[in-house]
Amino acid sequence: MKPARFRYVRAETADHAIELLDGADTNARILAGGQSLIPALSARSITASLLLDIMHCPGLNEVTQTPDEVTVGAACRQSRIELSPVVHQSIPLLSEALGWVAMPQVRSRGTVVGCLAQANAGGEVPVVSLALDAQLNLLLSGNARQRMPAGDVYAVQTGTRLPPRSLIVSASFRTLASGEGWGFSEVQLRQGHFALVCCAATLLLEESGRVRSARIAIGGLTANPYRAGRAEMSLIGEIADQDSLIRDAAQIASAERPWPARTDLHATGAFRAKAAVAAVARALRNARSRCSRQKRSDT
Amino acid sequence: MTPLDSTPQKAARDDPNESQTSLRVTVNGKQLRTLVPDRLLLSDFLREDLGLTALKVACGEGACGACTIVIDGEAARSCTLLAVQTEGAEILTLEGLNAPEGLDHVQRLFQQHHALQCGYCTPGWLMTVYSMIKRSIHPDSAEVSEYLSGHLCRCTGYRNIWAAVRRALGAANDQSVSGRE
Repeated sequence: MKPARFRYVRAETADHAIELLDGADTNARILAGGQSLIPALSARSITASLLLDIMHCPGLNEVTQTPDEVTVGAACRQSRIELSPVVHQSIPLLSEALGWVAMPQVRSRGTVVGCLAQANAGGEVPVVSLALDAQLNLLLSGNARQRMPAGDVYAVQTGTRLPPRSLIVSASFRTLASGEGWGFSEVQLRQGHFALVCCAATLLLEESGRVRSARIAIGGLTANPYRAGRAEMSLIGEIADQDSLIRDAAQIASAERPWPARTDLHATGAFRAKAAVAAVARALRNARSRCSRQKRSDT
Repeated sequence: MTPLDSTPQKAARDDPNESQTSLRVTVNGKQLRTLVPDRLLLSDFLREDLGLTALKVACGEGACGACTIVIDGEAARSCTLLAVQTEGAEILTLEGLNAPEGLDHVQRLFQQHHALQCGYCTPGWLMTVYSMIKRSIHPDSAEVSEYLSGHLCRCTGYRNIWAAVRRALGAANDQSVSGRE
């Protein structure tokens, strides 16, 4: 349980990290909190030639806010974001989901953006990123910048579609609209364990009580998370108070998975598919209970 | 503090193929400036280079909590970090908590409640409790079970630990509360 040899460099700036990444072989890796990467290196399930530590780069440890989005820098640790008043106020869905990430002793070192980059099956942050239309702000070689929607990043059965030799400098999450309800639900074997399945959902209602917009993102059921677009469509324009509506949407959401349900030591794919129905229904009910109806005169 | 004489790290230092990096870190109030192998885990650095053997290494993947220490005021695993990652940090291990005259308040509560048997996991628990007290966690909050879920104990069955921790957090009695559903 000790890592094989690698070289470690403390990057001075994000540009410095990209420069080094550009000149390195393909087995160089970015190191942030290391709470997934170091155990994987210790178990030698992966190896690295070079680890580029970005935690000392200036500018990456910031949370910034515009009226539309909250941006979390790549060096922001999960425990800090979980307790951040700005995040709690504008994107409480992220605060809640972070409470399900591993345990406090791991969240004290792990980063929010690192979760997005690692894309571990059942990871909570990628699921939230889909529900909140997150944009990943990338730095590429030659100082090029790119914004990549989370929906594109995870549109593949395993791994990510992040460009090679790129650094995620931050992730921008959409601020919840006024009156928009949200819910997060997870099924795990025991507290602190990985998610068997989890779901992040948001609902926005018209004054009439009909659903104006909905987001349903599911993780753990498949290796990468997905947005349940058909289930979302089934809700639009309907009266959210009917529980049958939510139960049907949850069935659709689990069934429309784009990839096979995941089977591992802890649960079969069939079990996960059923657990996902329960998780989606719970997340949607929580979202509904937090909705306040939009009046046309609202500003 | 000087590194011990015959450790794997010593051997690694003599190996020209082993890449090393400078490290400036404060451990139990003492500032250190040293050179460590890049792949050296923090748990091994503390135990074998510095002789701080209260923390234990068991699972090596962050699951069991035996290697828990406090970094910059927060409980953290030392087996899922490289020593070089703690540049500029302040580390506290159980050795830094011990009052010169013996057990501190929380350690006495663990003793009184029989919250340990073999003692292997105990240093980890104590560091987590230290960080919970620092954060003023309420003894009846759901956060208590979140923090305690970060440790495995194969002897006690947890009940006595739970009682000792609640007392350490200021609860008036030892009655357990149920954790998050």
